[in-house]
Amino acid sequence: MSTGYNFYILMALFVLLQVAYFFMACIFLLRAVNFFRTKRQEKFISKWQDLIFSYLYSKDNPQNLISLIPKSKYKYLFSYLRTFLFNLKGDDLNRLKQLITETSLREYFFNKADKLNRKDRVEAIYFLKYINTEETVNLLIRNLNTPSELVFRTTVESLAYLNAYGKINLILDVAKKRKNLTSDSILSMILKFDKSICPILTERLDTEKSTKILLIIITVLWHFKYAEALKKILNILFYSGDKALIIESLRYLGEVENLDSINALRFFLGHSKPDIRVAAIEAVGKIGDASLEDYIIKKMLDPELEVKIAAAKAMYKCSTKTEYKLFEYAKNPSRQIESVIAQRIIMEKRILEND
Amino acid sequence: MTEILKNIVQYFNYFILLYFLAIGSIYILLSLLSFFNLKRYLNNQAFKDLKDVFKLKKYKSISLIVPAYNEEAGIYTSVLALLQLEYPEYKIIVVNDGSKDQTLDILKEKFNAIEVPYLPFGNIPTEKVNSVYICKNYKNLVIVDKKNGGKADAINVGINISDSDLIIVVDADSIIERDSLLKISYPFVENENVIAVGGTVRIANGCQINKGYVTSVELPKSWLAKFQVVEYIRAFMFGRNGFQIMDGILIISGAFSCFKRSELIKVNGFLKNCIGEDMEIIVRMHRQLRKENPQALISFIPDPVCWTEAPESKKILGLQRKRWQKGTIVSLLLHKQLFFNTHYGLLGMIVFPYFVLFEMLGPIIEAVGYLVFFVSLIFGMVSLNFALVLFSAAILYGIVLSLLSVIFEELTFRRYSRLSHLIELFIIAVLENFGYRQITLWYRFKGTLEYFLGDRKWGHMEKKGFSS
Repeated sequence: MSTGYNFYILMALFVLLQVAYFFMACIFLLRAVNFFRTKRQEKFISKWQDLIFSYLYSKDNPQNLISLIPKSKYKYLFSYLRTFLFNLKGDDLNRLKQLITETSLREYFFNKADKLNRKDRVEAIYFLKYINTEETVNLLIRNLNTPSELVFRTTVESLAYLNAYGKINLILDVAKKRKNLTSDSILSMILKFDKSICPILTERLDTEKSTKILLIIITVLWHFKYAEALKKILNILFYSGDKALIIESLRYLGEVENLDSINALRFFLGHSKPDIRVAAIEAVGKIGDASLEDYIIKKMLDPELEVKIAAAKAMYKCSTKTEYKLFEYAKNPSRQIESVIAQRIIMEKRILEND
Repeated sequence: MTEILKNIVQYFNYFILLYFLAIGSIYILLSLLSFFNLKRYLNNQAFKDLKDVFKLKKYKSISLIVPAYNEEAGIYTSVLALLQLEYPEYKIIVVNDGSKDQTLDILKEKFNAIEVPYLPFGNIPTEKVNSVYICKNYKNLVIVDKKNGGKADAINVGINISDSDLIIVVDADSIIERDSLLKISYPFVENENVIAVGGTVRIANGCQINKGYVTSVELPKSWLAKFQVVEYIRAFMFGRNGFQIMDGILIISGAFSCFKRSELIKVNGFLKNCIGEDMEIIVRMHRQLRKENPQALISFIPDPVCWTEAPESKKILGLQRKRWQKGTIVSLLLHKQLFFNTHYGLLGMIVFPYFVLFEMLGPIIEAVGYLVFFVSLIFGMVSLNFALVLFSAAILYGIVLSLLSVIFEELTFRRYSRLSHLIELFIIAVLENFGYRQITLWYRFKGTLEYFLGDRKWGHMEKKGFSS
């Protein structure tokens, strides 16, 4: 190796050695930073906890307390507030909320919610849910169009907390455009709303073209057992060719337990796709209608194992007649598969129910 | 003739130098990628309430499959701990893989098991199932007894019996964090294309363990286990995290991994009698499932969700590393079609070739490199300067990477909370480059040789078990 070449390599190794030293210093520096941060937080809590508690049980103006806390300590205050807002209930919670709604913190959060920094925005949006005004709702709506998924999620959850159910269509429209948001993610946000969203979502069933959104709506209606949507769901069931939509609609029928669903269920018990037959059987099992007993019993002879198992489970809880038939299957050695399924379901249910 | 030989040796030594520089640089690059991934993950986690999400009626049901072979010492405590995990609905399926000890009897007796007919939901071919039990006092516990067929076969029986959305495979001697099911199932909620998720595994040696849970995180007393602490942090923080950005996770730990059941059935479950079944299934899932759905994703969560026992003797460590090496070779050779295959994107073009060059062939290249280097040094074919450069490149890069992994730990999860831990970790990060790395290289080299010479046995690994 030439001397020049050697020099560069040795230089590079020297730099590498310096990097190693630098990293060593970093590790201890980080630990020191964390140590002092924790100490500051502990100091804050020990100093302010008593004051916050005495505020909760007094009639003092909340601004008096907030004015005492320097802005540099806000991050500790917010972390403290988040824990207590989550855990307190009733009057204590309302009193604590006043620290946000009736003090300078209100303006502070309004300003932060428009900032570019994602962390600041998320924090502000999180606390804005305690300020129930039209101004808050409008500000949150503006934040729906953010590119950040975290900001979007926090915004929807804050709107749900404020019960801004009138904005549900807008939320779904924005969610529809966000390609990376999954149905489960949207659903977990929307289900933070209460039942008030159901009439609006039911209306939307007429016009919505996206299967993904339709699925979400049906799941929400299923979750809240919203029976008023039955007619529209039956419509979807008969006119949609989408397997997922059919299965979700059948689950809805099972949940709302309405006798108007019987004809539809009877029809789908004979569907060519096994998972649709399973969904129909499960729905019948929940409704437990006598007119479908024979259909369910026959499903034990379905060629698909999953359908047989679903039928056996439904038979156990559907009616006395189906339960009796299940016992007959269990004792019938000529039908080995059906017998094993029936025995297993009966034993499992009996053992677990006797507990 | 001697001149030609000297030239060859010299060029080979340059190649080895380049090799060390390349592998170090790749790891530095991976660490940068990991850093952004970790930061994004932790920011998102800060405002997420996982428990809140799973309060909803529509969550993914989970089956935890616990393959057990001769686990009489710890099976009761392990299952009890698994029964207390946080999740709305999950089933535990303990599969006794023809144990020769009292594993099955202990399970039956302690959990009041009652035999029921065997009812499989899936049809992956397996060894014969002798009996299935459900438990009166624990509604979500199923015990299966089957003919011995190996870990993969036991898992396949569990998959057949389960009717859940997600399957989690967990080693009987692993310690799972209470909220790990919530964490590991969340990627499936966030992204419908996720087909499998792995989590970070940490070393439990030295930790205080009570009733199957890690109650206080400590460093092990044995130096061999201490080195593995830093090694695991580095592997999970850099390797898995960095490869995830390239959608190129080729392995998720067999100690704790989560799969979509439907996708496992599609690929016909785990490969029986395969040494590295945990890596093979992942490579196969990439190969088969990404063909029909290029968006299919194997994900990784950096949270430490699972604690495992590390070998504390060189003999056991050797057996483990040889087995891992053989597993890597099997998985890569079985799915060699992925090598420089553009259809699989960065996985085919970067990650798979990386694994072939640095993980499969690495031990051979490095071991031969060390040998040639020492021989050429003895015969005066390389200068002392070059020797210094080569060793510094190998050792210094290693130290930088190990320190970087400790920094990442400090920036993220900070599980080793005491200052004494930090000082110890820092010393370990430096010392592991002098001896430990070379020892593991030797075991991997032996594993590679054994594999190509036809010895493809599992090797029996003894574990001490955790004292509660």
